[in-house]
Amino acid sequence: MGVMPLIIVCSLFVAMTFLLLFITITRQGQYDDITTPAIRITFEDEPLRDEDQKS
Amino acid sequence: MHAVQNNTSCHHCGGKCATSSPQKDGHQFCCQGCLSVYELLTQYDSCEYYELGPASGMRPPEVKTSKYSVLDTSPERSHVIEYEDDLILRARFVLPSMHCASCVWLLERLHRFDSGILSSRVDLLRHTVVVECDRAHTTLANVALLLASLGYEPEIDRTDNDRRSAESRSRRTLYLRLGVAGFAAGNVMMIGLANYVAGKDGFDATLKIIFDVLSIGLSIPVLLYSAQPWLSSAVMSMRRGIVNLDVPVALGITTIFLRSCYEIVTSTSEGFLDSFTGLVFFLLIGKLFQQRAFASIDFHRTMRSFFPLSATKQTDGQQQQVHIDEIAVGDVVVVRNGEVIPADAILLHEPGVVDYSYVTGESTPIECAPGKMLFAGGRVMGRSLTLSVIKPASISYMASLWTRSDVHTERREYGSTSDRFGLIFTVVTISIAVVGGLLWLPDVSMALTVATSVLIIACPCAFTLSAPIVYGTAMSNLARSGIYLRTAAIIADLQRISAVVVDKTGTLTEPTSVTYHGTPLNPEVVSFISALALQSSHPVSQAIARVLPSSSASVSDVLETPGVGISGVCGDLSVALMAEKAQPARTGFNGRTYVHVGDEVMGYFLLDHALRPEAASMIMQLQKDYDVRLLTGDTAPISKEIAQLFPAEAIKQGASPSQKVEYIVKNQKLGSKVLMMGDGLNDLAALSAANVSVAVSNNTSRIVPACDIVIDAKNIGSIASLLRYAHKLRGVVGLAFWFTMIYNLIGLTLSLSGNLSPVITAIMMPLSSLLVLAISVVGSKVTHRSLLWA
Repeated sequence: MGVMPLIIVCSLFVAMTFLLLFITITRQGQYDDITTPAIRITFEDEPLRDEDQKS
Repeated sequence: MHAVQNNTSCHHCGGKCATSSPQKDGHQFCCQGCLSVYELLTQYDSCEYYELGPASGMRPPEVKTSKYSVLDTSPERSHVIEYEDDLILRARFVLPSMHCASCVWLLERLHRFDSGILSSRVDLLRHTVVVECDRAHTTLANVALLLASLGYEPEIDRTDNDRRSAESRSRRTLYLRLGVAGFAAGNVMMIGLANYVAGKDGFDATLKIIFDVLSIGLSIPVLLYSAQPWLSSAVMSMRRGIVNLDVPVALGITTIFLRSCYEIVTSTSEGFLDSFTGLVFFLLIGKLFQQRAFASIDFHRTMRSFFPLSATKQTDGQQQQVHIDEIAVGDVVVVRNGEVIPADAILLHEPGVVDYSYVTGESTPIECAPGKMLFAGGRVMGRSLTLSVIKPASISYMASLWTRSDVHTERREYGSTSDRFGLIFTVVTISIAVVGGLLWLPDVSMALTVATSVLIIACPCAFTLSAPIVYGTAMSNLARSGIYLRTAAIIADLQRISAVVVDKTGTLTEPTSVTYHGTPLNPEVVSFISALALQSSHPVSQAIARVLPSSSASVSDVLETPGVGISGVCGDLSVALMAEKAQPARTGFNGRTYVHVGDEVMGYFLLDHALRPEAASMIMQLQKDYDVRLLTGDTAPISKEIAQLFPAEAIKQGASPSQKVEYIVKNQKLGSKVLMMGDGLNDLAALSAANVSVAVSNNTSRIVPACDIVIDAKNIGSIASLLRYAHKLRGVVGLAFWFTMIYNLIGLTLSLSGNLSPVITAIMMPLSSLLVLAISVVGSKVTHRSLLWA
């Protein structure tokens, strides 16, 4: 059972990392709009020839 | 390529096509506007748009180029621009007409239409698009014009940038609070579970200390950061001397935390920190629901369809009703008695009286001399005023006057229903806790246990969790059906209504015809009367003004007395439109409006009213559950179709505005809660006296900031459904509330007396919050579905 404290501290550290990551991305505004991205992902990719015209 | 379609619906917007409608590529279009959007789309190779949803386009309005050119020069641009340097420019437009996936697709491909546009990004929930463009290649006006020609007419959002960024900050803060609470709840629950499984034998001492320290350490940020909205709201309301429902919630969660810490430190038990963190997490989820619902309503509120406010614009002596959006700086507008000033303006010609109570809360009307600046939101009293507009009008500002008016109106002297409920609730809970504790007194620790248990059990978290979800969704559902509530608390007030008082003229009936009887009038007098009638926004005056030829005669010394009539001086003649024949007699309005010229009564206008088509069924539906009364200022015999709707004792005729107020107050003293429906001019005082006021808007040039509900006259049939809906919603919240009360009472009593294994307690506590969440979400869905709009 001696290993338990170590495991707890390690897992808490991992969890903390995710919490900090969450705080950072929220601050960046990634959660500001959660409706539109769900729609945006259903669109087809732009046809390739569009890219050709540009280059 | 699509096959030629034989049906006559427009390929772009799905609207009906006339036989002479334009065609292209085998498709039919209902109008030139739709055709040009189609051409734009094909020209830029964007026909994929139509594959996302057939006929999904917005029919573009006729676009006035000049309207947007101001964006390049005037101070207006500061409302639109988010960022700007020498090369690029980022602007934010509100597009009320965007509504679906196709809109998102099209609006995010704006760069195909204008090479100067670098990118565009849509927020569908808030109906905005942020456009980034190259300053060398395009201008703001061009972008706005492009949006308008695609059918998305931009509306300039005049809420200031500070408020907007504060809103977005508070959105992010909620997510952060939720994240912290969720993180802590997950970890504390895991620790708690380990504790419970280990039972009384426990693990070795070091592990026990680590667990205790961790669970307390993780809970502290939950109390101080995540639960802060409730704690600070409770403290704030206590400071103002009010006890709202957040007080018992704050009391409950602080007690759970402190008692758990105490028990852990003294090693008497494992505490309830897992329940505590879980509870805060679920409460925050409730808040998230509320915020999303409000975001969608907030948008609906500012939409044109809701506030199609118009103002009277004067050009070359001709008066014309225009949408307040179309009022430009420099226009001359006429604001009549009772109407609200649509935009900041300078008073021309004659002095007048303005009531700013909607804006500042100051109820003393202010006398204004010509040349004085008047602010949007002021209400004109007495004589109508001619103003020169110096700032563009803003619908969102006018709408916000209405939503904020609760702060200023003093009529809610008892506080809102939920505040009163909060007070009773808190007092009862604390007294039970104190009494329960005192009974055990010699045994201090037992006394504390009992007192804190009561506080924890009675924490009205279920109410705090379910009310925002249920009422929030209801508000946005209602907004979609054309009924606008000022605040969600009104739903709770609606549930208590026992009597409905309805005004007749303009509410139940609509004017149909106007005829003149009496001495023929010469054209000069007719033009005077027409000008006088235009001064008032009373439905009768408006009806008379409509049948007379429009006139440019100027009227001075206009005096309008609600319930009596309007008088003024034209040239050297004094003219008046009065509800009564002779000055002293008080007979009330009997359908005849007498024309006084000088001292003589020339004749009268006879006004015919017809019952609105929906009114009869609405009254009959309401009568099933409520005491419905008809209160009218008219004295003419009531038409048969109306009279047979009401029992004779429920009709009160010939009531002056002050008698209407007395009537309502008298009924309230007898214990009924009164809902008043009226048109908001003659009934303004009566509306304010009622427990819930419904303004039926048939004349769109007026908003009634003092009322609780605004409903379009076309929709009055749905009032009965609205009341039924409110009852059902109340039932859902009540169910959630009593469910947790009983659940907590049984669960906690068992666990405190040691009859329940700790593991079960640990599972039961968050389960109760989850069940409340489920009851609220399912309940609001079911009630909405069962609601049949008349």
